[in-house]
Amino acid sequence: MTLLSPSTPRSRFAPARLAAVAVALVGALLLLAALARVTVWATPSHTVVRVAGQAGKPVVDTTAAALALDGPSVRVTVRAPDPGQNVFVGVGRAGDVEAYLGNAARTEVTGVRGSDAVLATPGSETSLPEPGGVDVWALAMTGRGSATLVWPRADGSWRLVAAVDGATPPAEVVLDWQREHGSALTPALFGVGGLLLVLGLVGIGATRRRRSPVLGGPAPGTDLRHDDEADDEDDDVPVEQTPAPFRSERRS
Amino acid sequence: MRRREFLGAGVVAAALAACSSVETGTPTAEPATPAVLPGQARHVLEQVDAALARAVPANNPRLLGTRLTGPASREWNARLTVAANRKQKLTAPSPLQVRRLILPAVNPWPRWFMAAGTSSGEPTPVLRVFRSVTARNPYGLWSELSLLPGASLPDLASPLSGTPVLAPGDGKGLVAAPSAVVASYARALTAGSTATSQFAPDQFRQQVAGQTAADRRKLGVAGIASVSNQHRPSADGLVALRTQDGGALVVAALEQLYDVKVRAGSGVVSLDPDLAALARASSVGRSLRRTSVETVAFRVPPAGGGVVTVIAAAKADVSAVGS
Repeated sequence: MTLLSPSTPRSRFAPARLAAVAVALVGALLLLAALARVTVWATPSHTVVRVAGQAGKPVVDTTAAALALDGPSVRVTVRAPDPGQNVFVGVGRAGDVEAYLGNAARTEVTGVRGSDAVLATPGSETSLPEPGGVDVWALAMTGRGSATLVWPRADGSWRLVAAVDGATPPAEVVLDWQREHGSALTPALFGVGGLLLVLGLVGIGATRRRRSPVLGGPAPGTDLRHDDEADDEDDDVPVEQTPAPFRSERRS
Repeated sequence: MRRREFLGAGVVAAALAACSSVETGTPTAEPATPAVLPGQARHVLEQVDAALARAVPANNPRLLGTRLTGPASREWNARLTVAANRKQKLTAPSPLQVRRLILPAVNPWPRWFMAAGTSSGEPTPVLRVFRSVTARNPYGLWSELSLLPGASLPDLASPLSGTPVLAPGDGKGLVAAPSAVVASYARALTAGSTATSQFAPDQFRQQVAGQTAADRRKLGVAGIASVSNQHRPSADGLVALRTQDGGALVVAALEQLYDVKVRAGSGVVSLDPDLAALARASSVGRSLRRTSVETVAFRVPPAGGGVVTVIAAAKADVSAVGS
């Protein structure tokens, strides 16, 4: 017979152990979620869409929201239908670009869905002044046959225009957004998940150890009596045996 | 079982919807920047210099394209025409060594900006004024004014985030509205008086009044011809920017109409070579109308701040019609 508290260990430690298991479980789930975010649910490091110019629509442009897709930069390459033609790609303040485009017919990228551009086709004018000849661009590139521009993330609303001469549509515009790698949530999931898992495991271990005798019980020798029922319950729980000095045979 | 199937279908539908959602970003708040960024302004300056470098040596005004506008376009068209008629070769102005860019805040078109600096061959600092009529028109050189002796440009409000632009008729807080200042100055030039209560004496007005007076003496006293002279605000417009002291820097275009009526039977009036080349006549026996563009920069003080000062000006003949 052990020298244990009259109240049984099971009734005192079961809820704490349950809580520790729950905490460990939540921690493990959070770790799994974090792992999934950097593997199977990972955001691609690039989003690339290809937009073909359409007859009668002399420019391909983006809305401010589409150009601002999260990420440090977007790389835009425009190709002319004829390699001998000059092409233009430029980015300007959204308001200025809107004023320049006016009612010009255009192929407008309003967002992306997977690896496809979501397009709109506003405007009806089939030509507009050559974009290289106006001064609404904060950054612009021209080139023979093709031109490439890298637009870094910048405060404000910006729109992109790709064109040839204001009358001929470009053959193709490739927009390549460099995306954010993960997000602030992923490290947080790893951190919180790991912490909870460790706490849970420690808790489980602690509840095991706390089933050792004496702690919380009467001082040795002050109460050596206990009833059989309690003793029976003790038998249900694997109790770590206390060292010899605290062990005693029940006296009848 | 049916409930489970419905639940499964719902989960699949939700997953598909999540996969097919349209991605867009969120533009951030607009930072306070001028309507023309410094890089854009330098690009415009280069384009204007390039246009002048193409057109001037070739005596071909068409090569100026859209990079000259307003008074500067009229002036250079006339100068190149005169040079071509006189079989002269002009040299293009050297690029401006920019000391200061004056960049207005974002505002509707027409938009303006200015660059002050020195240009080799110019004895005094110059102020180049650029204008874009609409978003579809590039900025072109609108005028190049010479700073008057002893004058300096005022400090402007919010030079980094864009100087506020004042409407021509907005005289709030000023001694007079910008358009009223220009109209008063045109009247002062027409009157030929160098002393008016609203304006401080300036060298430009002295020179204009002096030239008209000299012509009147030369032609009128001898009874050969009569000379009349009118200055008026031009349709080329004006720009007004808020200065740091609450006043305004106003740059405006005026037009001078200078008429000579030759009295019948009194002979002919000879024209100087440049004017003759512009009028395509070496002399006139009946009349001459000479039109000039004048651009003037004013420092307009805040209300109660004293008189208006002319700090820079330019003048050029743009047409002459004689018979």
